[in-house]
Amino acid sequence: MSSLVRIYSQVYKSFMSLKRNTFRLADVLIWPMIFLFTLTFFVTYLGSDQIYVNIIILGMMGWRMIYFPNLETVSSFTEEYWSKSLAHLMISPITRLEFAIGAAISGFIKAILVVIIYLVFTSFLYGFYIPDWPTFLLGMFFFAIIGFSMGLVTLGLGYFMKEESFSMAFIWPDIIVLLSGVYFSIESVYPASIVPFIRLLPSTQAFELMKSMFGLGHPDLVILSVGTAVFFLLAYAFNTFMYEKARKEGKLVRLG
Amino acid sequence: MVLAIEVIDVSKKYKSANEIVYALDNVSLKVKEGEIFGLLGPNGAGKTTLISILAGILSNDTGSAKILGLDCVRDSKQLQQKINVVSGFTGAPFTLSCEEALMYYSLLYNVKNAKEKIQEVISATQLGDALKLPVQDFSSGMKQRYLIAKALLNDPKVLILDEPTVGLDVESAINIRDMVRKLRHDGRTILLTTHNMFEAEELCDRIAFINKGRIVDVGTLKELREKIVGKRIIEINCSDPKMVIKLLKGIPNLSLSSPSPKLVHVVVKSYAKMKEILSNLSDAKCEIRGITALEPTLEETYIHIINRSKIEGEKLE
Repeated sequence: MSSLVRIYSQVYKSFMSLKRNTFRLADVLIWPMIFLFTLTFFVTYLGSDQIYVNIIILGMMGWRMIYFPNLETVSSFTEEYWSKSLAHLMISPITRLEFAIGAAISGFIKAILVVIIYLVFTSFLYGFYIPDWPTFLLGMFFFAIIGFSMGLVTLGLGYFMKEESFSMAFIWPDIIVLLSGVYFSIESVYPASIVPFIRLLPSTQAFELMKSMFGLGHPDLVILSVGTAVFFLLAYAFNTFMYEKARKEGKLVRLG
Repeated sequence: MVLAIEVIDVSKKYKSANEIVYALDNVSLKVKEGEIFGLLGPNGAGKTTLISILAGILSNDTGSAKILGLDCVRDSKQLQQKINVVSGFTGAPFTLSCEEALMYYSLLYNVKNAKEKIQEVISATQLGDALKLPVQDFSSGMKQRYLIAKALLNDPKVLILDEPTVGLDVESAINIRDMVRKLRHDGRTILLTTHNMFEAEELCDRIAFINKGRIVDVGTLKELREKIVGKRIIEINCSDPKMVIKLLKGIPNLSLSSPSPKLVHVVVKSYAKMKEILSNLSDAKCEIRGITALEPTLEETYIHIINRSKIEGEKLE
């Protein structure tokens, strides 16, 4: 029970600070819409088939579900660092995992909010709909775990890189966009020799799952499930290793 | 004797360029339950390192550090529920108001009846008027009171105060010191670091001097003073110093001088001579306005002990 309260503390902090932080608010309400319309306007300008608009919209939704938990985990940490209150967090009873889960939940809530806004706008503008809700929700679940795992890795780097890790939170999703074929088919872009390796990435499989709702992707659910679980375990192990190393080398003290 | 803090042979070393630097070198100290214990030393002496180990955010290389019987590194999360830290160098999270920030920490510490507890700590720290204001807009004095309010939320049995009055004006510093006294009165154990000797003298029951990662002396202020003073000075304020000197000359092992037209300084090895001095002064045909035993200040004690440790350290090297 007390663990749940500590997890909730991060959600509380995130949404309380959102009230007075225009930049954080824009991150939820403005930039996702600008990204969405930039891409969908471009595709419709090219006169592309409706299916490509659908892939773009689904890709945006999945990408946001990865992006927010990852970013929120890091920003929850770096904003404490910037406001010189990180020491108070570190000397409190919250564990690393509770902190990361709490921050990631804030990210999930924001991502869900953005997905709902996307659904409303795109259904009105492009007649977009989710053809297979169970598949969609399953895909979103995997995106959330992948985003959370990425957040754990970025947080692990944060113990050493301080605010520099913040830029990592932006770099990660961009690499995912590029490698996982968020808006395109990986077979049509990457050399055939590389494709099998890219298909081993859980994020690639999750986006394949999303595309499969429109008959374009070919997901491998085993790679997706096992890959996501392995990625999460590795991310947690990395975070633990970096934390203990930082605590031993005095890096945590310098953060506070 | 019930111990709140027990540090035994704790060492911590860092690699710096090509050499290994000992931030703490076999440090041992014991803090009794309910006392205010001062940790004094120059910058870089090892105070922050020791506090960081006690707070659970730095692991020691050797030895053991325990608070309330819990290992500060291994049991850090369990321990952090029972202690708290106030540091003059820390801030408040983001743009949260005082009330929101305290609610946030109440959740972190899983405080029962958080709203009532917040009211209680707000009242104790006199922050009632500032409850809705963002903490980042607070003055230094208000910020310190906010930090103390935050540190009281979990009813800590042990409080670590790291330079709690740094950068504060006189009035704010007095308020904070009053609060610290009240905290001790409530039965809490307090570990205080400060560069303000007056503050340490005012508040601490016992003091440890730390230098170059080593505890160089521990004791009550009286004990520490006695260690450095091989002689004591009695100051006599009188109308005729020459006459007083003449009266006291007969007493063996006294050194007499008159630093100003109205004062006589009598240097003795111990206050045992006082009875004889008073007896002789009763024959004085001049006005005796006052007799004062001049004690070295904590500042003088500190400088003496730290300098002595530097010399001993150089000899060892």
